[in-house]
Amino acid sequence: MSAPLVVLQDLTIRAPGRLLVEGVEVVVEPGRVTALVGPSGSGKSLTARALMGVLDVAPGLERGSLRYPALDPSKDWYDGVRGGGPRAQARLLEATRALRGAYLSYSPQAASSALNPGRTVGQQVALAVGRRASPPASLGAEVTRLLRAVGLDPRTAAALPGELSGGQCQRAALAIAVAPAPRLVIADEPETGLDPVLRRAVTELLVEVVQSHGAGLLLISHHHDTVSRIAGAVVRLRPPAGAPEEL
Amino acid sequence: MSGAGRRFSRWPSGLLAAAGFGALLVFAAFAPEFLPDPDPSRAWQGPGEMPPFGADDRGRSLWVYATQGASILAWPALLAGFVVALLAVFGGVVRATGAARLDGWVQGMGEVVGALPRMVVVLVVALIVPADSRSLYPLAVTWALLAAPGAMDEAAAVAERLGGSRFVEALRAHGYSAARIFLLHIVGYNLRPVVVRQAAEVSMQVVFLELALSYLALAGDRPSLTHADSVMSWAGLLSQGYTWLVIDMESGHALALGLGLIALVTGASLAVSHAARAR
Repeated sequence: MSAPLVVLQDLTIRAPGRLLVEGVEVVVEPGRVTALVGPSGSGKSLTARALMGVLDVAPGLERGSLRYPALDPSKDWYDGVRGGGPRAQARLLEATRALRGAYLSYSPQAASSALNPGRTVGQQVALAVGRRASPPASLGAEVTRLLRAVGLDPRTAAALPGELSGGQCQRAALAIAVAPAPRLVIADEPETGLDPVLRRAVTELLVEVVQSHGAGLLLISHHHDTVSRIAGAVVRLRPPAGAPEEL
Repeated sequence: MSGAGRRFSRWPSGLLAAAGFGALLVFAAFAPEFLPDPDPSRAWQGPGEMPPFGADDRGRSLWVYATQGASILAWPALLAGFVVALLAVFGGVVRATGAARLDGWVQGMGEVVGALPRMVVVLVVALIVPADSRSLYPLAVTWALLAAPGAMDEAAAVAERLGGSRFVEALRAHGYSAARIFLLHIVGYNLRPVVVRQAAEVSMQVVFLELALSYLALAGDRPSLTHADSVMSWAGLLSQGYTWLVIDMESGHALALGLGLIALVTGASLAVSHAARAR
């Protein structure tokens, strides 16, 4: 059995005067879909960012460990960061930078506002392909292949994000997420802003594309039907004691 | 428009802009330090008799007007554009970083500076500068600082449309360094059209400012506020050419040259803006 892609244990992050997440445990296995679910304010996106080494709250990381066993089983990336505040977190951000967009990639929530409005979709996919350890023989052909894989017309490569629909933007964000051939894809609520039919199509496409690349998927969602349909493991988050729970 | 069409649409305007600004700098580089001696026998000779541009009312080559005029305004205009570009980038980056306190302070300062009457402030600065140090530089920088709040506002609005921290967060999650995110993705890819257009516009405005101030000085028979009396501004071409319109002097070629130089600056400025917008 191959090593897990990521193991996050006892994640506890504090903002001034309150806990944001407490004791969160996440393990993502290769070729498997793990869902991270919970109500708004339970820290799903924060946990996903922490898992990528992006911590930007003060005082920040209080407890926890982060390992990428498929890379190095012994290394705890949070060593020296726990209780170290913003400066230690900035060091972690820099130390994990090479992993982001290569070992793991991220498909953001509300893709239309996270895509670069000043660059064409093709340019953005090409930039992500450029993060692979070994570049493809033909960059143009690879961009076309990726766009086709997510169900976009290759002519979309010449379009700016503002010229696409919400569903097309989400597909473009997915193409960007898988373009570096990562071992782990983190998809942050990929269904946001989509109608029920498109929601189902996009999530199924997400699983299909990620698994065809042999990668693991951490899916952040609050749609129970989506999670129960595609997830092999579910991590449930609850707002920490004292935090307001939104409906 | 196809992707290939978009890629290449930058080149014609880029070349036009480079040619326009290049010509301006070449003119400035070839400017003689002093006016040549008058030769009344050659007064108002046309370009055919005194190449390349003909002569003025005292038989001096209009080439000297073109080059000295360019030397007065080329570098101050470019400096003004640079100052505005720098401040616009600052305004955009501050908004993109989400630094609310600094952003509020920048907006407040912008409102105060933006409310000042630009021409009055420029004239006050012109009168403060000692007569023997007359130059367009202080006026150009003053104009740029007064124009900057508008440019900063527009750049900040573009940065805001990027989605602020969400856009930065997404790029950070893709593994880009902070320098690459802010300099390349935000400034280079998104703020560039606004910043370049604002810089080109302010550069052009400084050229018009110099022409206006020098023309007023000539019309009032007073020393210029922007340059020493030993050099001629492009306003001299317009002033001489104007006599062709009102009293039918043979100075039409001077007016044509003056207007041609203004068209060169305007065309180069528009071409820069277009090239920056193209992908």
